[in-house]
Amino acid sequence: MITEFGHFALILAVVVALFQTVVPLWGALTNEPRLMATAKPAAIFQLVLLVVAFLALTHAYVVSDFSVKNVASNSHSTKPLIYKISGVWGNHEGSMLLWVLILATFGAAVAVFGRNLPESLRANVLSVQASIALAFGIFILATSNPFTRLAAPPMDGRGLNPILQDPALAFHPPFLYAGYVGFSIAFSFAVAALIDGRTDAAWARWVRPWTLAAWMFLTLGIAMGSWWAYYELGWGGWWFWDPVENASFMPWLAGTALLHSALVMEKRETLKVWTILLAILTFSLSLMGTFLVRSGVLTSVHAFAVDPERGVAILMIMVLFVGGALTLFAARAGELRQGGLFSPISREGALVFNNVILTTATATVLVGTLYPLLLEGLTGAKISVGPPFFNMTFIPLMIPLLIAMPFGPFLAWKRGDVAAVAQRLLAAALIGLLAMVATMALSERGPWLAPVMMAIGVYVMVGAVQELAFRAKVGKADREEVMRRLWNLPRSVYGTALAHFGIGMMVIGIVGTSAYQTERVLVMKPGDTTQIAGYSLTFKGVAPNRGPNYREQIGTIAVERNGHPLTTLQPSKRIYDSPPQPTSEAGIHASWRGDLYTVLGDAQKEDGGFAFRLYFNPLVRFIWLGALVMFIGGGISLSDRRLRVGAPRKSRGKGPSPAMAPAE
Amino acid sequence: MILWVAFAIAAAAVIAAVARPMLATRVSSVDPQQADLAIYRDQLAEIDADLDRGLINPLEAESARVELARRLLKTTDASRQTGKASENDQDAATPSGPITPTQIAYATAAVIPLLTLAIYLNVGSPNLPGMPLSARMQTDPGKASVEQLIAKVEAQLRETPQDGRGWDAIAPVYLRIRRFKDAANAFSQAIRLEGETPKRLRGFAEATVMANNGIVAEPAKKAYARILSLQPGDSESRFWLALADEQEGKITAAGAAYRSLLAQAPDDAPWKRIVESRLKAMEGDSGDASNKVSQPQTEKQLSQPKLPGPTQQDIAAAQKLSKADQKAFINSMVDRLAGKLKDDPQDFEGWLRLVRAYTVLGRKEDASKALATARKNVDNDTTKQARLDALANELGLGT
Repeated sequence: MITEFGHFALILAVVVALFQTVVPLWGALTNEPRLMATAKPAAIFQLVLLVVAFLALTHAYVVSDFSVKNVASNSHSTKPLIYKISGVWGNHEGSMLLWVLILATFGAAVAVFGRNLPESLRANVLSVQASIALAFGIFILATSNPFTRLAAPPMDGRGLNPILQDPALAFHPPFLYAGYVGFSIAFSFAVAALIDGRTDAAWARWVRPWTLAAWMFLTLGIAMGSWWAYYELGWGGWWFWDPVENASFMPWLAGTALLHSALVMEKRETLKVWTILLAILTFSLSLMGTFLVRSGVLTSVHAFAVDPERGVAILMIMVLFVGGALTLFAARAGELRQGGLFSPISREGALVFNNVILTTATATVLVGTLYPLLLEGLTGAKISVGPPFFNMTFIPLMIPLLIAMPFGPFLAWKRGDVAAVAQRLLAAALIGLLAMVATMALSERGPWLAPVMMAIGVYVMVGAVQELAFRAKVGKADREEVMRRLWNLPRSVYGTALAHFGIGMMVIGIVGTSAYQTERVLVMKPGDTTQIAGYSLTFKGVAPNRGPNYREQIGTIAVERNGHPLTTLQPSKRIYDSPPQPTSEAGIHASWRGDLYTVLGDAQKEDGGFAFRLYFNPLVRFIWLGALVMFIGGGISLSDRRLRVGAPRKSRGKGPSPAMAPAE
Repeated sequence: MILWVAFAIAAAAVIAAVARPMLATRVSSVDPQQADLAIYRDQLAEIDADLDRGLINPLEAESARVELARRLLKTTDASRQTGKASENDQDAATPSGPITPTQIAYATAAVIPLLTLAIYLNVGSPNLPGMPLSARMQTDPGKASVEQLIAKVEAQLRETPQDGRGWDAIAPVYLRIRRFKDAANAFSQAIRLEGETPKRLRGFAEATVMANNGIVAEPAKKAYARILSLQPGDSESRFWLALADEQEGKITAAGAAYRSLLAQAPDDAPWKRIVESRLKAMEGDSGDASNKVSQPQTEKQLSQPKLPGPTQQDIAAAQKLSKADQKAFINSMVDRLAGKLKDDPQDFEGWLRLVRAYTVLGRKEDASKALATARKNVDNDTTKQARLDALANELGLGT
């Protein structure tokens, strides 16, 4: 009964989406406020109904109601509760339901928080948003209904893929979707502006915070996925340039560009047309990611929906929205007013530079991801575009971007002075060089580029701190004044500094672990001792254990450093009951220096030894800590609700001092 | 009934919410120009606030205000250009066009429930009650299916894995429904917790043999040996141990064991015929290497249900026939296989079976011929070639 009510609620939500697509838009076109006003209750009720549907499905999972086909195919009565819940979105049908639920959440948020939006803009935005929900709602009901019932239910379900039974992965999809789908708001605003043929002041103010929220979630979602791959797949790697990873990385790159161009637009009301195009492209990449992952075009852990029919349906949705939006753009973009002017050397100029590089990088990843697919489709030849391609194209693009990054926040709006900024960043560059020398001294091997990248990472981090120090007049004012200034700095300044600092941390982590990883593969018998990266590891033995829904062999390794016992690691191999599939759980000792990463292999027949793979991944923690810092930076910036105006500095001669901070 | 009431309430709530603004007599609307002006006013206030907090200096504040003023002017300019249009819009705020909002509200009230219901009746299952697992577990045991009972016991055993009697109860059931691996595990748990009895050991051994496709492997052999130590002279155990010897190529030992079994067998022993036929096959061409590996045909075919071979009915029929008829029957089956392979020469496993079958029947020439044909069919596949070579060696067919 609860399940059936959830099913009804889902259908009702789709019908409401149909209403919300048609009526408010009609109202906006005929300028009828009473029709436009329906958008708000419709958006709120659409969300309420989808929440009901989602809770009903979750209920079916929790009580193991195997008369629901989706539950029978993807759950198992012995699973721990958290994986019964995460199993709801651990499959195609349930994850599509989560997709539209998040879509509706963003729509309802616009309806509720968008009080000061002009009537017609709000109606148009919510109409476009609802049309996306409608398309995916029809898709769900027609091809992937999670509420399909079985009259003769089996006694137990088929279980969730064991490698998906993991805490990081339980929350990876919701964050990732919040990111993907969050960009739909920017998309809806862009299309609404095109429908209206004009952009209001409110329009400029709204796009950035929504983009920022989506970007935050996507950052964390991608980082969680990468962290999961790192400790669960047992290869000691954290990023594989796998097409599915790229599918989430491309919207992130485009979204980062959008975030920066939206910044220009909010403060200076310029770059509007470009921002609209980026908004359309970013969400298109999100849709493409969904298509690539869901269509079975790519096979991977994510391809639990290998079904050509669904692939075609998503492709059609994608063509409809991307094609429609771009056509509208071509027709209407010319009518949009352009904003203020700026010189190439200015904050705007720096942000445009950022945009150019980020969009080029997006295109690079796009080519690397799609080219093999196209080639296979056209000629049948299977080629693999692996890390070498991305290393050769992506890294050279990132170097100038990273070098330019600390310059941006220092430059004034409208026209800046690059020489003065360079002078200020000299200290950061010097500390970076110092880091390079230290890296070269500490490492006896590794590619020549690694110390250089290390220097860049440190320079980016120091540059971010320096910007705060500069604004607080550290060294120029007395201590009290500095503290007062630091306290009064707008939160968005802290947000920028943190996000840029996080990027620097990430660069250091990536370089450290990619260039200086140590790896050993060996067979150890109980009692054997081996050395890696200054640690001494003694293999104590292997013992069987029984978990809630798996059996496992746990290896015990005592770790010593400099003769002192440090920790005990327990890498294990699991076999799940249903489906009977093996997984390996790495034993990891994490420290700031790096991670000691141990994987238990197979037992050797002859001598009772076990195969082991041991890794030392220097500085690898910094990758995810960097992402977390970026997420926090985004949150702080988002909490800054001021209405901002980017003021150009008066021409230089008139200013009281060349070190004057640009207005925030 | 409650379900339909709930549906009705949900639909009514939605209709009421979306229809309300359409039926309203007056709607307060924000003029876009006014909205823009409001935002610029807010921004001006914000600049003053920043100035107060010392975030920007008066000069910066001044230039920010100039920037705002520039935007404000642009907005009013634009509104003056489109002023005519917007005046028309103001008039249009009163009911306009061929369809009024009130009519749309009524249409909505009809379309939303009808469309939802139409879709739901197509895809929903309103008559199917929810079936949470815990509720299903509590059904009357008399009415429950075997599957349900097994699931119940399994759930209980997961809770109390030390319950030996539970394992004891479920083990024979597993064996009967051919879940051999589970059966072997359950028997061994029962033995561990409740102690060895011939019955449990026998069950364990049988389950292990069946799980291993009829091969009497080490764990099963140990179990039969234990039974013999508990029940000296147990003929079933002796038969299986003899079969194990035969499968391992200890022909002499196997032969002696079979013979002593036969000597002590009561006349009505059901296994007597099988032992006789095993013995006959071994003696028929003793010294021939081919016997080393031959398994009892019925055993092998029973336990390899995946390969297309004789059906269970075939075997049951074969067991009822006299010996001469049996031979004829087996020959006819082999010929049937040969015929099938003529039609489908790519069936590699089929060829392996045919060669083996010919050898067992003593038709060595046919076996060699079949082997040669099989070789021709796989000329490029080295792994298959290697398997054929191994088979030829094993059966002593030469090349």
